[in-house]
Amino acid sequence: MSDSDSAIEVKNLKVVYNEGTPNEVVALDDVCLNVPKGQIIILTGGNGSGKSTLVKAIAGMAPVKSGKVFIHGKDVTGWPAYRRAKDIGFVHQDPMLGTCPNLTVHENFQISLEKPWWLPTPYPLTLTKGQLDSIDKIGLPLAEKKATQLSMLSGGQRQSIALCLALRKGSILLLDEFTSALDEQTKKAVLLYALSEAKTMKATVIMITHDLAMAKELGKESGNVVLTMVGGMFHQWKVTKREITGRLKLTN
Amino acid sequence: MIISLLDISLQQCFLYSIAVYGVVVSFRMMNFPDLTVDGSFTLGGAVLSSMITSNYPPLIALPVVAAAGFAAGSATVFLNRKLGISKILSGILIMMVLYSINLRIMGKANISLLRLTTLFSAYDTDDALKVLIFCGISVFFLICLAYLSMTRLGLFIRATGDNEFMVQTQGVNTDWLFYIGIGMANALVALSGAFVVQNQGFADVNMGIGLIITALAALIIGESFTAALVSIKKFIFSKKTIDIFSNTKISLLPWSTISELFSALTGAFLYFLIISICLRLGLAPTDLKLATGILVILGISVRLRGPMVETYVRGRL
Ligand SMILES: Nc1ncnc2c1ncn2[C@@H]1O[C@H](COP(=O)(O)OP(=O)(O)OP(=O)(O)O)[C@@H](O)[C@H]1O
Ligand SMILES: [Mg+2]
Repeated sequence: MSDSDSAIEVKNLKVVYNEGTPNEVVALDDVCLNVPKGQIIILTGGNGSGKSTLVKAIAGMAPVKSGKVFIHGKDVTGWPAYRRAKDIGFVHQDPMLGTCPNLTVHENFQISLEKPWWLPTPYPLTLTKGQLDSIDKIGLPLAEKKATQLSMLSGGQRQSIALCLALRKGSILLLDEFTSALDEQTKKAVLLYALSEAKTMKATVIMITHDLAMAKELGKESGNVVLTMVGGMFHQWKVTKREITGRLKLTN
Repeated sequence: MIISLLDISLQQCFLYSIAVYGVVVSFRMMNFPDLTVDGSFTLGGAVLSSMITSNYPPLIALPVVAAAGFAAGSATVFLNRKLGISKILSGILIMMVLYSINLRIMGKANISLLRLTTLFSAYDTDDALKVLIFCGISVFFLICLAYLSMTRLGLFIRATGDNEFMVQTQGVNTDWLFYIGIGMANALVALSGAFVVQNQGFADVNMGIGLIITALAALIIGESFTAALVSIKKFIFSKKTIDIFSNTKISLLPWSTISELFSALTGAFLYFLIISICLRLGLAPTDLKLATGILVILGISVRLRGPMVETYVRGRL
């Protein structure tokens, strides 16, 4: 079992893509990570170092070969992604994956409402106050575009919407380069919004970024931890007052 | 001659349009190229005709037909989702299996319903009334599906077809949505088969062969027609008048799905009209499938010849 004070616990995780084929890639090998509740982790590292793979494995979207994943002390290693989604909000690195491209802005927001999916009653034609607020906070001019298909918005706009849709879920946020497609100004607004929302929800956050300046800035805040993933070597992660431990070994 | 042409194509088109709605659900809403329909169309006819020859009233037979179609669709989804067989192959496998099952249900290759009570036998003499009833049945299903697309369930069916991954990250087991969506699509197709059998007065084990191509041809013709209507609308009304609807709640209704359903109905009518004209003009009935195939190929390839066809648009058919 695992201690119940940690939000995410990863034990000796090994992830292998395309196992048994010539394209086999060992993306993670023997990775351990223990994240206390309410912790914000900023994860950096080179391309292909396995950052996305780590958060995907936590969210249940990577082929885990061995090792275990615990969410709030529960062993979820065998759980499919949709079962973990009650606890996890996930913004994918690819802005195409977080939204439905052929549905309208309005319909995308309706999907993220916490109501049973099987209701045979018409969905409302207005957004909730919380949803309007979140659109407002990320600074998107969407008031006129509620009936527009997502595929007709820009990549950055879609990424911001993907964040809005994911933020409303769960006590754990996995944000995989969620500001990569945004301009400087929007990036700030979106980042601030995500962090403030995480604070009010007391959420545990793993945020992946290539923006080292941003990582440094966020790392200064007390309690936040910056971790760097490096491929090919055994890596000791920085330890803070709140005792975060991490061990990472990568092949390739 | 025009009147009689209209009569024949109207009768058939309304009954076949229900199958085209099914194809809208599977191909368009769920993005699932479901080939089961060839089998489930015959399945509907087989179940209905064997129940009627065993003296069940037709109204009792219809729910059984729908359930049988739903089961056929679910079987295809099961092969795809649980056993990891590709969508196309799952559909073909179930279609083939259904051929034997249909023969078992019917007991022989052809069942005649002559002099038996069907839903329509009371109106046999009155063609105009019959067309009206068929039209009513088709519009009833159209309204039901339009309503469904406005509900949360319908929204999730469309969303699953669009981006299954996203729906899963919202905590939904998309398997259920595939069972419901594809099951429903095949229930519609089976009902269509049951109606067609009652209209033509016999069931044949081969009646479903090529149905998917017929339905796609109708859908593609209908979509082109709807697109033409939209551009005419834009041409007649200035941009401003169209814009009164933007930013109103009406604009937030699922118009793309509703227009697909409308396309299915108009397309079914145009398809049967074109086919009956071609037959009158001397097209051999045996060449019908060739003509339909060419129609589908042309329809899809011409439509996707735009300057910027995004990959996922291409993937949709
Ligand atoms: N779907 C996949 N199939 C096969 N190999 C994969 C797949 N996804 C990732 N990999 C491999 O796993 C390794 C880690 O990839 P990952 O996406 O986790 O890197 P990353 O740290 O997120 O990189 P980036 O900064 O570019 O996003 C890489 O070597 C990559 O080639
Ligand atoms: Mg990545």
